[in-house]
Amino acid sequence: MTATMLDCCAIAAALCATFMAGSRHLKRNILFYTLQTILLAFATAIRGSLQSEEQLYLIAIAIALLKAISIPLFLRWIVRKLCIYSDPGIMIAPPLVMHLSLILFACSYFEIASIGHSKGSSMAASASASLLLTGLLLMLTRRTALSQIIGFLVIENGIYLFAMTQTTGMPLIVEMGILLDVLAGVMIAGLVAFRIQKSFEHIDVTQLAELKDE
Amino acid sequence: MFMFQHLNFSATTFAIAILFWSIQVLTSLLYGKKCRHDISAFVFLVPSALLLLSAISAWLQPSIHFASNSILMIGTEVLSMKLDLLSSLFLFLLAAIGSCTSIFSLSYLPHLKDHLHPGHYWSALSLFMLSMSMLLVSANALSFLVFWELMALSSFALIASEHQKHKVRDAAVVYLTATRIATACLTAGFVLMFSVVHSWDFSAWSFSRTNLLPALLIAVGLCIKSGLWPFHLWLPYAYTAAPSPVSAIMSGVMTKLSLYAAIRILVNGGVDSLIIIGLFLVLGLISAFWGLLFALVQQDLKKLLAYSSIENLGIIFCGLGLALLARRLNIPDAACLALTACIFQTFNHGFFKPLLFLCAGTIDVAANTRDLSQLGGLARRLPFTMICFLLGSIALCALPPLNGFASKWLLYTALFHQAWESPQIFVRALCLVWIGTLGLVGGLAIFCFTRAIGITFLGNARSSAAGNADELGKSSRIAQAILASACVLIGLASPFVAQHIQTIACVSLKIPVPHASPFQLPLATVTLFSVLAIAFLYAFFLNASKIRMFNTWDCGFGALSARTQIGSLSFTQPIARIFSPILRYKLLIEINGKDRRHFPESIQTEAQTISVLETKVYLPILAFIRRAAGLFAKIQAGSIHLYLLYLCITLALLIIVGAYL
Repeated sequence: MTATMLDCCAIAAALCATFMAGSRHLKRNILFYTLQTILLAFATAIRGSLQSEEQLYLIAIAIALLKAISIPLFLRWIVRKLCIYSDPGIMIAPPLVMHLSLILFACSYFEIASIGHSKGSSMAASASASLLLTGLLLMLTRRTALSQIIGFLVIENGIYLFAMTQTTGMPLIVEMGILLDVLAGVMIAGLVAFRIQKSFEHIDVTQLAELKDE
Repeated sequence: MFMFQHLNFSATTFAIAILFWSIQVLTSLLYGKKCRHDISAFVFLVPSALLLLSAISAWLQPSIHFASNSILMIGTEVLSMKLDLLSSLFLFLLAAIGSCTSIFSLSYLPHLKDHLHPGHYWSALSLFMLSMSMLLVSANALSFLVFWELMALSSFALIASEHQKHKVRDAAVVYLTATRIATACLTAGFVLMFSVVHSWDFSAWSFSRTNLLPALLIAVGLCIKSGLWPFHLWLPYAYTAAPSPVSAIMSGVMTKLSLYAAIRILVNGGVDSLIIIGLFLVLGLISAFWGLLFALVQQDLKKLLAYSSIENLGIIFCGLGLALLARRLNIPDAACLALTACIFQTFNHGFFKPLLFLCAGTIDVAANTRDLSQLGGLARRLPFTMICFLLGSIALCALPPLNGFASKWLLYTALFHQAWESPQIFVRALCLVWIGTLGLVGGLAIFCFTRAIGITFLGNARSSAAGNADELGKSSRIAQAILASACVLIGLASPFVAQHIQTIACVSLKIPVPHASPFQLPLATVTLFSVLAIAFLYAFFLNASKIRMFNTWDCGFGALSARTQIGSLSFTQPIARIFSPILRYKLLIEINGKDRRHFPESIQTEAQTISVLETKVYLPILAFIRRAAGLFAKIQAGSIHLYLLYLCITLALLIIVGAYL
């Protein structure tokens, strides 16, 4: 249980996100998301053992239960219900997005190095920045509403990883609140996607451009 | 709800009243459309009466401090509350006006049943009263801001209660904008002050020369909220659009709360910067003059009252500025007098203006119009309302023996004191200018209300609706009677009231309290004797049997109609002409016919006044904001991906800025 293991977990999570950026398949994306979140839970536990804080173990368990099990199950259920298994992507093709995400990974490493002076490890920080940027990229280059939800979840993971590794730790109640927020947000977004499918017979967000102030 | 340091009567009744109102906020919302006006009004009356008890019992003891329970703490600060003489005076006013308006609502609101959602109305009204009473006991900036916001939002909901009408919606938006700006100024001032003093407690704040900016921000915020010139635009719209009980509470209490805040924060904090004193004095004087001038030419009765509110607030803020000036020049007795006059005028205005608004509400519903050119002859139809309106107007015009007289008298005394005792010739001249202008304003006020009463109540009805008007119901008359008798009683007891207020003023100014009452005229005795004398004269010399009845000469044109009476336009025309450069008063007369000079067939007249401030200052600013907002709307394309791209670019920029700057 050393700091390198924490860095390894963080980088592996970022690589998961890169794979997600390269895959069209929705179920595979959800699987990678699960893997990523489990890695994050591990990282949290390692951090807990490094700082010898029991609170972080509790948070790790909660993350594993809520984000790594219930949310993926819910998303898979939605995918099955909607019968949409792949996302063709928009603007940039997925393989290119994967390469772009790798470049972003490198960029974020140098960025974090230039920002510097934080207490935590700079490797984990750059991994979390890369997670955040890849999540944004996922949302930007995908067509279906489900991919938007997955992208959002990746961004959230990135923010969590940053907060967990760079600060001395947030209070348990705040963490739990954020977890609950994410859970509720995903539930609502999933149900809304369901409704969109029902009323428009597609969940293509590029065609939902009417909702604006004239 | 609260943890009391000493559990005493007034704090307990206060807490129960607050609890009552919070329950009513919820239950009215739950009942929704099924909420009944009569039951709600009675339920509303209970906490108002409790608050009245609490305020009265708070007079008899030193100030009470209590703090919120730790569960209710927002953040880290303990939210301390304080109930002292100053807040108890305003609580008394709030409770009195609250109970009167709820009694009035019993017979008034059922007439609005098509437009008004009862559940929303009562819930917003309870929230409004709750936030105002909590505001009055807040001893720190945080809870003050929270309840200030609640007050603003609930009053916005109340103004918008007849939101089906287009005008009402516009008025509500104008009001909301004004309160937003006021709150922004206040918040900025509070935060700046916190960064200097490191405490949210008002008692720890002191405004020395270095703290000019926060004091200025707070002062401007309060000026906007109280509707001083040039921030007065929201006031006529809001008062006209709101239902009469709401405009009564707003004019009687809500705008006064900014004066309360000014005393609590600025006067207690020892403001002595000339900029703020000048701001209060100059804006006060201009508002007094400007407000009354516009009141003179209004056709809408409620709008007239709203503009006269601006005038009164101007006078009140003049008194405040004068008190601060006198303290700076080290003339304590003038400072004490001026602040006493200022608080006394606030208190009095808090009674007679709601009375006038309630009467206007009665007239509005009874005659189905507030337009002065449609009214007339209501003295025979609404005799009770006429007496109340007359009493309110006499009080407003500061004629003895009603309550307005004493406070104006004190203000003039303070001004003369200052002019006499101040060493600088400049200040002396300034005081004389202020005396002259306030005198002119007082004279114009009498003219304005002579017109309001004369056109509304005397002569013949100018429309059939006004001719068939009827009093509303018993409860509306009870409410008016309570307020009218309060005006008379406060007037007769003014030496005592003035002494009580003098104590408050001296404590606020942190100077020793004089023993004698500042108002020494034996008003009650003089009134008693003059009433007896007039009764005697009337009985023996002017008795009614000598009245002769005859027809008015009609120039041979035939029967006189209601249109041949002096109208609301013609009454003000001479004075409006004098001030036409300010009012932009224009009289458009069109005479048609073959021989226009001798035998005109039709004559059309129309008077026009333009508010320069509105058309030349505010509308261009608004248009500019609209154009700018239109440019921004272009980036709203509707595509989610585009929005995400914006986010991405912002994030990238922020990271770059964070890294290299």
